[in-house]
Amino acid sequence: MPTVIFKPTEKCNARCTYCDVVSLREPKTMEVSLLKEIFIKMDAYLKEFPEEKFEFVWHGGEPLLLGNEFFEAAIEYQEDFCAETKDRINHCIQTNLTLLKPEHIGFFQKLGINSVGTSYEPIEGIRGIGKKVNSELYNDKFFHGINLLENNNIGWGFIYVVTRKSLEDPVALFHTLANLKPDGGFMMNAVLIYGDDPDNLAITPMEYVDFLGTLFPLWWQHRHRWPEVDPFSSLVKNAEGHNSLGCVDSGSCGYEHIYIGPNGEASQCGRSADWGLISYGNVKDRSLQEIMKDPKREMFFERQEYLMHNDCMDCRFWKICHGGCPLDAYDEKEKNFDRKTFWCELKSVFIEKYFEPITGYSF
Amino acid sequence: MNKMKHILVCEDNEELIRKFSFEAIVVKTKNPEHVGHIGRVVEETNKVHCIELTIEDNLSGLNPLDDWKEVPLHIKAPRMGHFLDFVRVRHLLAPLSVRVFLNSGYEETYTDLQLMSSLGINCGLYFDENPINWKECTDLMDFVVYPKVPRATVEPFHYIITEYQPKETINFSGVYFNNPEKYLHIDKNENVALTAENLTAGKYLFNGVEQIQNIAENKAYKAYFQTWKKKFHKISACSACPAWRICGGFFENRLESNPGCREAFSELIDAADLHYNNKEKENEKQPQLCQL
Repeated sequence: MPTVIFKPTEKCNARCTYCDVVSLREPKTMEVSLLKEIFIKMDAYLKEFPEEKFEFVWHGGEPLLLGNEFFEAAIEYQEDFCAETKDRINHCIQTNLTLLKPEHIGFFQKLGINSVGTSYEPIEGIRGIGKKVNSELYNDKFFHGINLLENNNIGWGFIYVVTRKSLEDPVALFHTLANLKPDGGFMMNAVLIYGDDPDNLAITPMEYVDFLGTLFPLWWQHRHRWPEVDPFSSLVKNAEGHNSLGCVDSGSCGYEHIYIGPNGEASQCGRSADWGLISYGNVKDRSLQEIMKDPKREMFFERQEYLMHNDCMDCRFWKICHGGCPLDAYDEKEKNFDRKTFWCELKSVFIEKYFEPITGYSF
Repeated sequence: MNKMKHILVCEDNEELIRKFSFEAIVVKTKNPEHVGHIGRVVEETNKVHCIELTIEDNLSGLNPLDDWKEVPLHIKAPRMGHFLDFVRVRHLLAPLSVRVFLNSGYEETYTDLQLMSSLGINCGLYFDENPINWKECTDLMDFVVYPKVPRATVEPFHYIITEYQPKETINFSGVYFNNPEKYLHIDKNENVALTAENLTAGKYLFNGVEQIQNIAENKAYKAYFQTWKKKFHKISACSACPAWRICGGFFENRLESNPGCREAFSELIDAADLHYNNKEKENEKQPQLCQL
């Protein structure tokens, strides 16, 4: 199933200290006319491939900064231009929820969005509103959004970004995350800071591993209490033979992802677009079929072939890692992705030091 | 009609009680002689959920009356009192539908509750401004949740253990008729409040019993159920507590002066987990043997 990572705006109302969106001087927002074109092209793609579906992920920036007319147009265009294929477009949204209003709920429902992805940060001074990164105001608005979702029976899950401040008391932090969402549904990702780090939030990969290692025994002991906590629950599923891999580990993103930016620029994913690494042209000029078959995607398939016979040849974690995210493996000098990433080593450290001894599972 | 099916909690005021119809009611009284009478008044047009009798003297000095047999009863007493005197009361309490609650502020309460439970009297702790002996409390909890022989229940531990679901939070204030999801408090002037404390403090939701039928639309009522999220604006003692989902911040106000709830309730949630898992195993389909 192709995933469209749809970034209609680069604007964001929040100031997260680790996010590079805040540094954009002139963040762009998509014109409604271009949105129409995207729906027409999705329809054409789905008609050519009747067995296919689109996962259409509204991303940003903050997508709720788009005016009501943008969402109304999306609903209208889907009805008008995807009349026969709309059931094969699954909309999802990643939002900070701080701008959520009752009218958005209506948009979500019309687009078939019944669960929302968001982010949560209980440590002060990291996620916030305004130049002072006002966390109290941010969380006040965030929880208002959560209430609105829950009152309308819309599910939600969240990402927690692990920064240096998270390392101070991982257990207290973990309980706070788990208590907020008793039925599970959150993921702890390491912060990715490229360039300056004035707030000293970056962590080393090994610090991230030890952070997870501190929490894993606790999660494992009470895993029925906190079922869906990632990366733990996905690892267990994989160890039990159920495939549960995110985009960075799947080794198949080259087949599946299309990024569409505010000016219609197409790339592999949000990161590749942000870093200016891969361009598949522009949806204004190309069909989605052409973008999906772009010859540049070959380098992802070639990377998989290369790794299987070189760097990762004897690795017992290949099936759950596939060399990691190609973008993390990019070499500026060589201009290619043909190597495993630094995360691979750390994944194996986590599994061998914490996961396997505690669970008794073996890959 | 109260579509939310709340149970009303009020003082023993006959005039007020007669204003209700088809409601389940908890009546609070301090007069032992009123218990039977109030029970009958309520039953004229309503249903007695429970009569809560608060006494100032020790339980052992109580004289249960014959007409208490007709009503579900909670008795709140500060202490059990002398054992030999309690034995007399115990025989009179045994045939009643009664739970006896003792004040958590007294050292002997915790062992007295073990004694009462062993003697078949359903009982429990109630908490007021007095400090809680968390070590004794934990011992009592262990006594309740790991029974070696059948015993009567001890609240709120029995409620927590039996109601616990791993992926949900539970509110044990219902043991004290103080959970707004189930109970609403009303005074003689028909002021309605979410909790007993709010009623005392004059923090009313509205005035007029007839308004209860629309409570689901009441802003303050809806907002109440979101207030817990305030504790998650930043990492707090309650947000970071392993036992949050069985406690919900019940002891938050005494955290500084009388800490210890975290350890005690962390043990309790582990016990609740164990109890839940054992129950799940029991529910698993057993292999069928052929009939002999």
